[in-house]
Order: sequence, then C-alpha cells, then structure tokens
Amino acid sequence: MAIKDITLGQYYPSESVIHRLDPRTKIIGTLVFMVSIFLVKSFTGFAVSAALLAAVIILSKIPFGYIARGLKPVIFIIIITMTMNLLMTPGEPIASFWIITITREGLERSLLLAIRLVLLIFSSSILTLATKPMSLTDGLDSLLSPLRKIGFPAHEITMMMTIAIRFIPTLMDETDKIMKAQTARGADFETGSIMQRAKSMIPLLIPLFVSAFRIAADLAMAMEARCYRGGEGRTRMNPMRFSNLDTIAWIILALYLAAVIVMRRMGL
Amino acid sequence: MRIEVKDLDHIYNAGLAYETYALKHVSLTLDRGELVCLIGHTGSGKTTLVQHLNGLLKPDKGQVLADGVDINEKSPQARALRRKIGLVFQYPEYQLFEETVFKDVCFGPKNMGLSEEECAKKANDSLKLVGMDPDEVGDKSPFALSGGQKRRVAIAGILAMDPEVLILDEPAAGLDPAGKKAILSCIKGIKEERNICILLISHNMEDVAEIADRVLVMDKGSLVLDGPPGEVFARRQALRDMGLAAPPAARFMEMVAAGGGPVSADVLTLDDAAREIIRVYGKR
Ligand SMILES: Nc1ncnc2c1ncn2[C@@H]1O[C@H](COP(=O)(O)OP(=O)(O)OP(=O)(O)O)[C@@H](O)[C@H]1O
Ligand SMILES: [Mg+2]
Repeated sequence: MAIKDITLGQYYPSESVIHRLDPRTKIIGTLVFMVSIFLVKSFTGFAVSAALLAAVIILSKIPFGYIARGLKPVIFIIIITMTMNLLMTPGEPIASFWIITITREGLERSLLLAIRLVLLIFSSSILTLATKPMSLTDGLDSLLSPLRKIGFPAHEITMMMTIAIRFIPTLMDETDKIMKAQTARGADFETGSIMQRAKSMIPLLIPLFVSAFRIAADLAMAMEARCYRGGEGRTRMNPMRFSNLDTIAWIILALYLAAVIVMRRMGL
Repeated sequence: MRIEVKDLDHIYNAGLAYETYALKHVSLTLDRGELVCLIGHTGSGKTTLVQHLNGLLKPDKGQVLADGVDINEKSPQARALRRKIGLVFQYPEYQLFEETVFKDVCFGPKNMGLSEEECAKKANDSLKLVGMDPDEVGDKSPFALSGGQKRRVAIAGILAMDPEVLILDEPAAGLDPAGKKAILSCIKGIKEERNICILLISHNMEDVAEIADRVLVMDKGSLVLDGPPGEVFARRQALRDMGLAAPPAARFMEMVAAGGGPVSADVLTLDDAAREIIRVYGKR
C-alpha cells in the first residue's frame, strides 16, 4: 500500500566519521555553513564552500543520489528564480533576441543564486541524513537549554519533537490497519469527486484520532509511572560527549569561516 | 462458496535488505459450513494469509480462487466475490467511527449500495446475531460500550454485509473470560444460523479443540498441518517443535497416563476428559 512507501526522517545509516560527530557539532556546523554561504559573494568563494561540502559528503559515505534527492521539491523554485534574475538584471548585454536581453550581470547573479540554493539544500540534507532524528532533538535540547533561563520551555519543546518523531511509524501502522479494516467493509478511499473523497476520510480519521488519544494517554501514564518530570536536573541515558573528532571538526569549521571572511574582505 | 488458495507466496518489502518471506507455497481449500481454526506461533504468517483471502494483500505468486474465479482480477465479478468474504481484523473495535452503533453497523451494507430499509434490516439482524439488543444499544455511541461489546458491534458490522465466508483474526484477544465466552458462543451461533464458512485465527488451544471442525497449522510462512482437531493435536512433538501446545485437557490426561493412570490421553476438551475419568474411575 502506498502509505508504506513514504519514508520519514530520511536518516541514512552508516558508520562514517560524520555520523559519529556529536549532534551539537553537526547542528552548529550546518548553521555556520549556511550563514557563510550568505557571506560569500564570488565564484572563488563558492568553490571553497563547495570543496568543504564535497569533503563532508565523501566522508559521510552517503550515496550522492540520496543527497540530490533533497533538490526535487525545490528544483522548480530554483529554475524560476534563476530565469527571473537572468532576464531582469540590467547591465552589459551579452546576448539578445526578440524582446529578451541577457546581461553579463544577470548571468552571474542567476548562477550565484543557484549555487547558493543548492549548497543550502545539500548542507541541510546532510545534517538530517547523517544524524538520527533522536540525536538531532537531543542536540537541540542541549543547545537550547540556556534559553530556559529566560523562560523558554526548551526541554518540553524538544521532548514533544522526540515523541512526534518516535510515533510517526506507529501512527503509520495504525493508519494502514484502519484503512485495511474499512476497505474490508467496502470503504473506497481512491475514487470519486473531491467532496466524496474528503467524506470517505471520516471512517479513517476518527478511529485514527481515537487511537492517537489512546496512545497519548498510555504514554503519559507510563511516563508518570516512571516518575518523569521535565528538564531541571534531568540526566541522560546516553550522555552526549564531545570527542577528538569534534575538536577536529570545530577547528576545520573555524578555519573555513576565517577563510570566508578574509576572502570577503579582500573582495575575492 | 468455496475458496481455493493455490501455491501462495508473499514477500514483505521485496527487494530491500529487510525483506521477509511471510508466506511460502501455501495451498488450502475452505468449504461452505466448515468452522476452520488457523493456529501458529507469533509471526508465522496467519494474518498475512487471511488478508489475501479478500484481496487486501496481493499475492507475489499463486492465486486465490473463489468459486473458481481469481479474486484479484479487475472484473466486477471478482469485486462482487471479494465482498462476499468478510474479514474481521484483530482488535476490530478500533475501526468503529460512527455516532451510533446502528449507523456503524450500517456502514458496510451502505457501501454495497443497499437501500435504507435493507441496511436497517441487516443491521438489526446482525446485532441480534452477536447477542446485542438493537433497541437497547442501537442509539448509543459505539465509544460508550465495553471492550467486548465494541468487538461484537464490529463483528456485526461485517456480518451485516452478508458474507459467505467469515474470517476472524484473534477475535477473543485481550478480553476477559466472560467476554471470550460471549464471543465464542456468538461465533457458534453465526455458524448455526447462517451455515457459512468460518475461518478463525486463535492462540487458545482450548477454544480451538472445542469449536473447530478442522485445524490448520502454520509455521514460518508454510502451512504444515491440516486436518481434524483430533489428528492435528495428536502430533504432540511436531506442535511442540513449532512452539505450540496441545489443549490443556489433553496435556492433563497425558500427565495422568504418564503417571500410570489407566486413562486414554486421546481427548481434546474438558468434557471429554471428565467423561474419560468417570469411565475409568466410575461414579461415586
Ligand atoms: N506490514 C508488514 N511489513 C513488513 N513485514 C511484515 C508486515 N506484516 C507482517 N510482517 C512480517 O511477516 C511475518 C508474518 O506476520 P503475520 O502478521 O502474518 O504473523 P501472524 O501469524 O499473524 O502473527 P501474530 O500471531 O503475532 O498475529 C512476520 O515475520 C512479520 O514480521
Ligand atoms: Mg496476526
């Protein structure tokens, strides 16, 4: 059934160096990389960024096809913005036909823009491909915990994310089961007008909500029975620790950031 | 209706690293008026098999024939046949969704395109057949019933579609003894009333020994034993190897016989055991 084909949390299991990095390193690293991409203004600069990204991709041992898949939903946006920039930027004309004039500035701008978008998407894809969803939320929890001082419920929010991620497969299974059960009763989810199809979702959605509430109540009960209480003073089963690997990653990241800033200052 | 399963294979996640061979060369026939019990260890493929019988899962190899017609064909005839095979899922109470019990039971017949009156008649009949009073519970919310009652309503929802073959996946799972008993007697009632073929998945050997006309045993995706309960349960060692046990009454008599009691261990139900003991030791 189609519902089984949807892959969620696109984690790609592997034992690579990148996978073994602390999630906090990866989150900060990705953020720094993304910011750096907005600092870069030239092709030379992008060559440096792309080289770093390529090295990370190779180290992560994730097949390139998986990473490129992230482009699929946005390829359309990239093409549109490229065309707009190509056609709308005034400057020194290099080609023209009919009412269209392409300028050198336009070409440059649209290429830079495309590179920037692709780098952004690739870097965020690597973060989610090489980090388990659970460590991602753990990392976020730890990174956001200073905000607790100003009353931001960091632990509660990341706990919610963790639970949501954990229960996606469970709810998918549940949906599959209910769909089969209603199909056995002659329900039809695939044909008919939009109104009919929306209506045919009722026999699916109501039992699904009932299940979700039941699961929530059970989980709450189980957590309470184990004396769960929020963030303050809570320890972890698998505490996160920075390793030598992380130190190396931080050094590389710092050098990269320095290079980007220097190149920007020198107008490269 | 007669169902024939021919050389059925089913593979989950075919082609992926974690593919599972859930069914291997399964062949069987089911006839009108039979009450067949399907047993097997957890994960042996029972649920997978029964989901093939009404077309919810498509075979990777092999066929499912109903009265000689492949039910997975695209023809209206095959579609009509699939509707004659009613499948009650494990924990069917999770499929209830309507505001009232009555409306929920009508859902199936309504999908078959029957008129209001016909639906109402079928719903009333089916509720009575599962031992519920339509006048009393018909207007209640299905969510306000007890677990066992919900389950009987869900079974009524399938019965209302007038199946010629009724398949129940562990209908007594998770119920208290009274609820279990109610479900079992309701299944016996359905068999007597409608004379249809009933296929029942169960983990409770006592129940199986009591109601089955025929027992099917699955192990690791294959159908390994198929015959009358007496024959199947006589294969003690084979059953033990598959992680299954004979009914408790039979095991008890076996222990008595092994301890030197002059009784025959050739019994299945508690009633048989009691009769055998009385026969040997006489009435006081
Ligand atoms: N949707 C699915 N996707 C992948 N594998 C599955 C799926 N459903 C079942 N399986 C696998 O197929 C095998 C048979 O499962 P099935 O549910 O048919 O067993 P069962 O005999 O009904 O067990 P139980 O007594 O626990 O209900 C198991 O190994 C199971 O892990
Ligand atoms: Mg099962």
